[in-house]
Amino acid sequence: MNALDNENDPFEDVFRNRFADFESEPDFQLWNKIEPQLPVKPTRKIPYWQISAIALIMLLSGLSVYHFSQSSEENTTTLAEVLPKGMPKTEPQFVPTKGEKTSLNNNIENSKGLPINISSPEKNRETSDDNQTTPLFVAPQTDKILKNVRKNIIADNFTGEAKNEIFIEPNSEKNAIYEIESENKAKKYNKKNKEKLNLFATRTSNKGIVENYHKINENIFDVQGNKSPLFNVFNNNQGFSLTTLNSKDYSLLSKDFRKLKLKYVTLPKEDKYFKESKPIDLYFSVMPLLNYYTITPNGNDANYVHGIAVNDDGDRLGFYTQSGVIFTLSERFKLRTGLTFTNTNHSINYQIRTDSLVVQSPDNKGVDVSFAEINQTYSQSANYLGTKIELQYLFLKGEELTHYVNVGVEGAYRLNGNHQLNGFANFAYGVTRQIGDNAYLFVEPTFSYSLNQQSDSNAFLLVKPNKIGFNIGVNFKIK
Amino acid sequence: MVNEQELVKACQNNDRKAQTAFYNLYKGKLMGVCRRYTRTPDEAEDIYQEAFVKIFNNIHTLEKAGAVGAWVRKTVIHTAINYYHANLKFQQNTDYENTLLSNDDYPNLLANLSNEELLTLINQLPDGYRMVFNLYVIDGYSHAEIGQMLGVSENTSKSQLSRAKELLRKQLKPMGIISYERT
Repeated sequence: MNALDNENDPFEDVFRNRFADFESEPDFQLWNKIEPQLPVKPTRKIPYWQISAIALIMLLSGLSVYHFSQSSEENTTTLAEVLPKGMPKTEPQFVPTKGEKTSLNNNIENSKGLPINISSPEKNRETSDDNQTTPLFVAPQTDKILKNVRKNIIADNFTGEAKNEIFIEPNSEKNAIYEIESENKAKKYNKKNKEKLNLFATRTSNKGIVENYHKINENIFDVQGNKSPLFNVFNNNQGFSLTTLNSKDYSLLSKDFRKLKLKYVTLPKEDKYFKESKPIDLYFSVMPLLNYYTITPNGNDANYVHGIAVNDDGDRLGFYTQSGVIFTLSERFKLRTGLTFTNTNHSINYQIRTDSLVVQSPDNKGVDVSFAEINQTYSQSANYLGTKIELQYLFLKGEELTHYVNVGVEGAYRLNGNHQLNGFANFAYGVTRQIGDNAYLFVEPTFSYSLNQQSDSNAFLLVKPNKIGFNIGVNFKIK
Repeated sequence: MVNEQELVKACQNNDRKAQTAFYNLYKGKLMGVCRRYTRTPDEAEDIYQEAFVKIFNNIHTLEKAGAVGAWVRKTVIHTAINYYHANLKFQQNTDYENTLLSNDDYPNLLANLSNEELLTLINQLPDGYRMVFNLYVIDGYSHAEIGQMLGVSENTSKSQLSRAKELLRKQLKPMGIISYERT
């Protein structure tokens, strides 16, 4: 072993001098193989705060769409939409007379509004006594009163009685009727009580001018169910109000309150959710990912690889976006297909026990085996472009929320690194609700099970990059 | 001309032109390292590709741009070691006949051999020998460092080197190189 002790072994010097700066020209085609694997400037890591911002913007947009769609519904409902088929639609009568104005002025001074007792004509005959109930609010003045009115309506609905107190607020931008309808919708009142209020749509401007209104003279019943009372709609500079006309004669409002009956029309509850006017939806979603790996040593390496641990310092996180179309197959089934983009990050620590340096002893009588532990890290950031197809089963259709399950497969091609093609089986449970005329928000926790394995650069580990994600997205119906 | 540090900074920003220039700057040197550590040119190309991908993927971790030369060389060597661990761990050097040669039998005509001929001798060494020989003799690592890098004891590294040199001498013998005069 003298050579080992000689630091200036001339034999070594020959090789050292020759090869210390040895260069060899590589094949020019090698760069073409390397270049596609290199990191690219713009598509690298998107900071998570940006993803969060996108998700927040989507959420706010959804809420805005929802809000405006609700407002739009309120302002555009017309008599024609409210009335059932066959119901006569009459032109409003507008009879502003001096006497009425006097009556109105007195009324506004006294009560600033009119309560109207409304009941279903069918129930009217059976429960006429109930319909004689004195209105609870004679002189509503403020929002507080309006709230009280709403509460009474809800309470009545829960009792199953088709009885409502309607108050039209002076100087209000919105018709009180719609306020009440909106309230009913929000509170999910008793399903049995599906009457849709059939009165009229009236709107006043700030100046108190009646811009449009409808009334149904023919559908106004008295206590006995006969068509007799009429009412007029008129305005002054402060708001609008109603007066009643009995047999075309003027009468004091205070006397006619209890007699005025407006027909309550029963309509099937509108199921906006599943009005499948068009069978195709567009969808877009984004979700944060948490990688959940199945890691196994590769083949014979099982004897050498141990101590596998996934770093939990945030390297597991990634994100997933998808966009595509949804085909409605039937009332319960939909088919969803589209493109996906996935960014995942891997960071796995593991240890190798090596005994690779097995040498014969100098006397040739044995072997010199040396073991050691080497810490290794499998770390990479991968981007995938994929396509997916999923079958969606809607198993629970609520009034506002619909629940479904998704089962599908996805093929994802890795854009960087070794360009591996990965397959995933996707399972998801989703909840969706309408946020606009043609927009639906969905939240969809998803589990993606990897159908094949990746290996690290040394082929020590086989990794199944399973994913757990929390999908948030929007569907748009195609008009 | 862009200096090396600016080139590194541009590569850290994943600038494709800078990556190309960086590749052209180091391709010869790194292929030279790969050729020494491998048995065949094909293996050298495999390691070469893998090493360059690693370099560009991890160059953002390089804090001292001035040390980039040593860093890329070290990356290639580690890639070669990993490759060797992954693919060749079961090879045992049982075909080596322990023909001890005298230290006085230095080959004296090594100078007449070309780099390629000497490289072929290195390539033909068993993997463990070749690793230790390259690491110690050419790349200047100590036996302690080699032991750590390869996961072997320091003594194993020493014995591997000894046997590598003996095997080289044995291979040189048929070529007529049987003695070497110290100068």
